[in-house]
Amino acid sequence: MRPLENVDRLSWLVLAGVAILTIAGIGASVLTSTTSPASDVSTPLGVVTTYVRAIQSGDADRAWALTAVSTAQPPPGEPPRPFLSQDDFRQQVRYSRQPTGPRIRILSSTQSADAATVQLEVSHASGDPLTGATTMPLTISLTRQADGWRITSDPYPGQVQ
Amino acid sequence: MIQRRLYIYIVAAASLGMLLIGSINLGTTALNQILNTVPPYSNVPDAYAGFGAVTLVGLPVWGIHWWIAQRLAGRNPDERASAIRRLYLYVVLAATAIALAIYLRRLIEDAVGFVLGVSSDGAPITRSLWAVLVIGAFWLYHFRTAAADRSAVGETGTSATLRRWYAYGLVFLGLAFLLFGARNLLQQIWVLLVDRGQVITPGGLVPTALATMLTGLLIFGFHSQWTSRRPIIDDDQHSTLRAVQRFLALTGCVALTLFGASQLLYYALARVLGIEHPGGVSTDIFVAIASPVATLIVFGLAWLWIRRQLAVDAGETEAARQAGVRHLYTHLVAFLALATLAIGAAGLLWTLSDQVLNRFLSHTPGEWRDRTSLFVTLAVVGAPMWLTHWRPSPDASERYTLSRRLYLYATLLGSVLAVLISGAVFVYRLLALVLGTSDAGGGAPVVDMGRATSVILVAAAIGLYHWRALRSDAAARPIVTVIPSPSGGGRGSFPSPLAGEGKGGGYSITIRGATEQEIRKALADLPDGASYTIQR
Repeated sequence: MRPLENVDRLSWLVLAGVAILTIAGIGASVLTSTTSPASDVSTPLGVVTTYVRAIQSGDADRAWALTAVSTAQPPPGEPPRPFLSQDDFRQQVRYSRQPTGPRIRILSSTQSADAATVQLEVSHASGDPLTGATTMPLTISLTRQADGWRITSDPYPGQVQ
Repeated sequence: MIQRRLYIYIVAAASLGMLLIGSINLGTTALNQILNTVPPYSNVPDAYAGFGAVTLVGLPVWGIHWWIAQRLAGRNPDERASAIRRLYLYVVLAATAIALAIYLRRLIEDAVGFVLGVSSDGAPITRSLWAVLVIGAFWLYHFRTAAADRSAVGETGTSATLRRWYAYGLVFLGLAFLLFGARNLLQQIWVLLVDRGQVITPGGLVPTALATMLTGLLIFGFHSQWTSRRPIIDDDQHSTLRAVQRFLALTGCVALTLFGASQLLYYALARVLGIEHPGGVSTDIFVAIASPVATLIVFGLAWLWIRRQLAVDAGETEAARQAGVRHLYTHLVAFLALATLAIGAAGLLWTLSDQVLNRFLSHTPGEWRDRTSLFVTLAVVGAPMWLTHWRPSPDASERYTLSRRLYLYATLLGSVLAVLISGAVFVYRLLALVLGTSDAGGGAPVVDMGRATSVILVAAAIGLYHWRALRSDAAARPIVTVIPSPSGGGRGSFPSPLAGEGKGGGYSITIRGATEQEIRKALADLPDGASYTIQR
């Protein structure tokens, strides 16, 4: 008996549907990958884009260079503030990596002379069968420094990995 | 004998689990070292020691016990045919098949992500590939062992039931993977093509959905092909588990299709009523409808597909079974559609009552357009579906079926429970109003009583209608005339009108060992104009 001898016509249509969806999914991903925002580090949006891409490709040092996180402890008398060192950041980028990254959509971007905010929508693949994804908002704050825009929000790489 | 079998197969199953866990993790740790990638365990020597020990203990224990089991099975056909041996085989097959599905999905996800540039790390592919190879080898070995046992000594009774639990469980799991994966993939394709916003990593969710769909196709395709071949199909044609699996899948598809259609119409209606973000969706409406459109298309088509499979299955069996399957399907859809319609109608009355009573009490009524869109949609989706599947006065072959009675009693139960709960809420809020509780001054109990009344009205209307249908069924049931035989035995003597009636004259048949309902079902296929009398 041949392997697909008793496959009925409707089941062949199902196979055809799966093939079409596979081709369409790969095609749509390839087509839309060329339209994502440019990694121009002279704008807040470009800095955030570069930061996200660096983390997703595992380049922790490049991502860290775009942050302006204060590692100085508050003055005596005030409670100590937890901070992430560059080594901690590298470790997090290394160990939080997922096989496939989330879909990150830019919701809005506001900018003044010295400060900017970029709002993102991060969608991770999830076990929820009805949506297939869990979506959460993420706000990234930036300040203008002498060498350009830098991220001042707490940098937790796991949020965009 | 049983104790010995239990000992051998329990130890074999436990040691096989150890062997699989140990060998997969040993290989993964070695691959991480070879490829110089991030190991999942921080201490590599510890991982080698731990998983090495598990493998070194599991391998000989499983090898020795399985060798004994195979030797005993080779000598004694009873041993080979024992239910405990089949239990071991099908439990191992089910566990390895599920693990294989998980790793296979991960492998496809990693590979597609790598090809699409969503992931730049190739190491997870080799790790998943190793796990798939190890688990796949053990699954295949046990599958072939079960097939050899089946051809050597057959498979009946408990052993056949165990095989069916494995096969139809995996068919169901594979179908769920296939359909949800296809739905998620279609949604992602829609979002990628329609979303005009800026996306940093657009195709991130495509590999996951694609992997789920393809894994589901492999599992479902293999097991449904296996169960549709001889000699399995000859054995399973009348199996309850086979029918239950299909009806469970059908129920899920009908419910999700109704859900998708309702959500889609709700978004459309809400936009017509001028709501910018129906249901609080933050994205563009064309992006938001990706989910209901994908659900409607995939599960709607799956509904037609499974319905067709059920018809084909029934077509290969006797006429009574065909009719039974058709009636079960019709009543199942009618029940789900009625539930949708009832929620829509009660919700609509609830919203209306909120608006009227809040205005009457000079309160600011809440947002109504969003909720009205939702509940009108549910009613609009549910009503035609129910009207096309429910028949108040069907012919006798349908009127006395078990599925119709299940539908009627389930509906009555739901209605009565809804009336009871809402009635209790109504009385509670009425007493709060009369006794002047803390929130009674603002008129909150009046609003709650209005809401409870909305539910009571709809539930009572549905309950009353179906109660009347039950009464009508009872009234239409033909009266069985008992004519005792002259000898006083159970065999009836037929009255004279039968003789010579209609074409071919009358026939007298004596049936034993069947209930009146079963006889009526068997006679339902008589040609139009034929009549019969049942006598006890």
